[in-house]
Amino acid sequence: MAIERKEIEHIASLARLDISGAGFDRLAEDMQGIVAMVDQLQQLDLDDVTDVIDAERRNAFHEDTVIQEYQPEQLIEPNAPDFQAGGVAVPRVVE
Amino acid sequence: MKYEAVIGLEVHAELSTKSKIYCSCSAKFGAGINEHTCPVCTGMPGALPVLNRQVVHYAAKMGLATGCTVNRLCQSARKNYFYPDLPKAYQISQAEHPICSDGEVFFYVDGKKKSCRLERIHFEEDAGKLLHDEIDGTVVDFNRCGVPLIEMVTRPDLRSSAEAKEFLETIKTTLSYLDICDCKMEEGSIRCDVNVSIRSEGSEEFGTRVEMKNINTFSGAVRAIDYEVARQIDVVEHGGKVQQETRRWDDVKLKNTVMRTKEDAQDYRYFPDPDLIAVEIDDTWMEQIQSEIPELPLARYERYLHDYGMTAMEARQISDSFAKANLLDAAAASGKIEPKKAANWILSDISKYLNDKEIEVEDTMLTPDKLVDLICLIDKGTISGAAGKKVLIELFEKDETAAQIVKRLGLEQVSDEGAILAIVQDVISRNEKAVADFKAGKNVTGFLVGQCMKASKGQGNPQIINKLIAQELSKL
Repeated sequence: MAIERKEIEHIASLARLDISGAGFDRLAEDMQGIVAMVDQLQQLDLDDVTDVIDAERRNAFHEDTVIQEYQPEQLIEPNAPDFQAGGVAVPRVVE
Repeated sequence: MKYEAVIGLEVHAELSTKSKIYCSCSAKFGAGINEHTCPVCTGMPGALPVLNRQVVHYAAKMGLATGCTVNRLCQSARKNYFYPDLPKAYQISQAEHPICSDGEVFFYVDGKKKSCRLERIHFEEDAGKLLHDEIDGTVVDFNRCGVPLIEMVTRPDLRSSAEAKEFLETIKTTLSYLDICDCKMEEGSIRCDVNVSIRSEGSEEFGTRVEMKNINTFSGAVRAIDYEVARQIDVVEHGGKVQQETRRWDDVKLKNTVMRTKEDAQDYRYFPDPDLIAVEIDDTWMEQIQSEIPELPLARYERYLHDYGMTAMEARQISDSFAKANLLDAAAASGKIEPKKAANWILSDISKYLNDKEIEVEDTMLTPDKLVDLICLIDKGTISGAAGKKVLIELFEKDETAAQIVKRLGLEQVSDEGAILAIVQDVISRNEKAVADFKAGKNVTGFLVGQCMKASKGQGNPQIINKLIAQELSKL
C-alpha cells in the first residue's frame, strides 16, 4: 500500500510536526518502509494462533502505600503550554 | 401492543485503595489541583506503570461476592481514545482477559427474588477531571487519573427501572460490606451507564439498544431509564425505528440528547498493554481473598426475615448497613435476648442517635455486649423502657456498662409492691377531682399513672403501678 503526500502531511499536522522543507522526503521514505513492513506482517498465517496471555512473566506489583514526590509547579507547569490555577489550561471544552 | 424494557448496566466503582492503580500517588478525593500527580499518571513519555496489588485483591473480592469465576490469569489492555482528561490518549483497562467473568447478583423487587447475571468485572484507571469554573476556559486536573475503578458489566437481564435500582443498591451494599469502596455517590464513587432497548412483551429477540451516559445517582438511573423506555415506545408507536446511538442524560432537564450515532461510534483499538505483565492469582491468594468475605447483605436479609421474624422493611434497613447487621448478629449470638428486641433498638433509638450525629456504630462506645446487657436489664424489670433510652445515650458516649450507668444515674426501677402501693394511695388521696371523675364514669387511669410516675421520679414499675391503681380504684 502506497502512502500519499497528502496523508503524510495530515498525520504530521495531527502530530504537530513541522515537516516543511528538507525533512519531508526522508520522512515519506520512512513512512513507506513502515507501511511496507505492516503489509508484510499481514501476510502471516495466524489462523492457528489464539489469544493467550503471555504468563511467563507475571505479578509485578507495587504495594498500596502513598509516595507523593511532585508539586504541580515542578511536574505540570514546565510541560504545559498554558499553566493556570495549578493545571493545564485548555480551550473551553464543552461537549 | 405491550412493550417490555430490556436493560443492561455498566457500573463503575472507585476502589478505596490508598494509592493509585499504576503509581504510588494518593488516590484520595479532594486535593488541590494536580497535587496527586506524578510522571506515570500524567502520561509523561517513558514513565512506566506498575499495578497496585490491592486493586487485584479488591476486584477479585467483588468477583467472589457476586458469584463470578475469578480468573487465575488476567491481563491489562489499552483502550484508545482522545480526550483532554486522558493524558496518555489511552486508558489502561482490561479487554479479552478480565479478572472476573460470569457472575450473578440476586435481589428482591416487591417481595420477589430476581437476579441479574454479570458478564464480567475488570479493573481500570479513572480519567482526570475538566474544571470549567476556575478560569475563562478549562483546566485539566489529573488528580483522578489513575484512581482505581472496577467496572461491572451486566447481561441484559433487567426488565424495569425498579429492578435496575435494586440491582444497583445491592451492588452498593455489597461494596460497602467488602469495604472496598467508600460508596460516596456525591463524590462520584459509583457511576453507571445504562443500555436500554424495548421489545414486544413475550418476544425473545432484542431490540436496538441505546446507551445512556452521565448517570450519577441511582434515582437518576431510574428517571433516565423511564424516560428512555417511554421515548423508544413513542418512536416505535409513531412508525419510527430506534437508532443505535449514545445519548447523554440530563438529570436537571430530565431528558436525554444524542451524543453520538452509530456512524461515529468510537473504535477503541484495544490491545494488550506491553508495559504490564500478566496477573496470576494462585490458590493461596484466592483462599485469602475468599476468607475475607463476610456473610453478604442478601443472606442476612433472608435470615432476618425467616429466623428473626422481622418485616421486609426492618430486615432491609438493618442488612443494608454492615455495622448495624454486625451489631444485631453479635447481640443475637449472646443467646441471652430475643434478636427481635435488639433489632427494635437498632431500628429506633440507635438509628436515630446515629443519624442525628451522622456517625456509624463503630464511632461510638456502644458494643453488642452493652446492648445485650441493656435489654436484659429491661427484661428483668430492673429498669423501665423509658430509663433504657437514657442508659443507651450513656452507652454510646461512656466507657461504662449498662449496670454501672443505671447505678450512677439512679435509674433502678422500683418494683416493690409495698413501696409503690404507698405512692398510689397517696396520689389517689391527693387527686379528689380524678376520683370524682372516676366515679362519674371517666377513665382516669392514664392521668393517675402519670402522677405516680412523677411521684416515683420515673422509677416506679409502670406495670405494677397500673395494676395497683386498678386495684385501689376498684375499692372506691
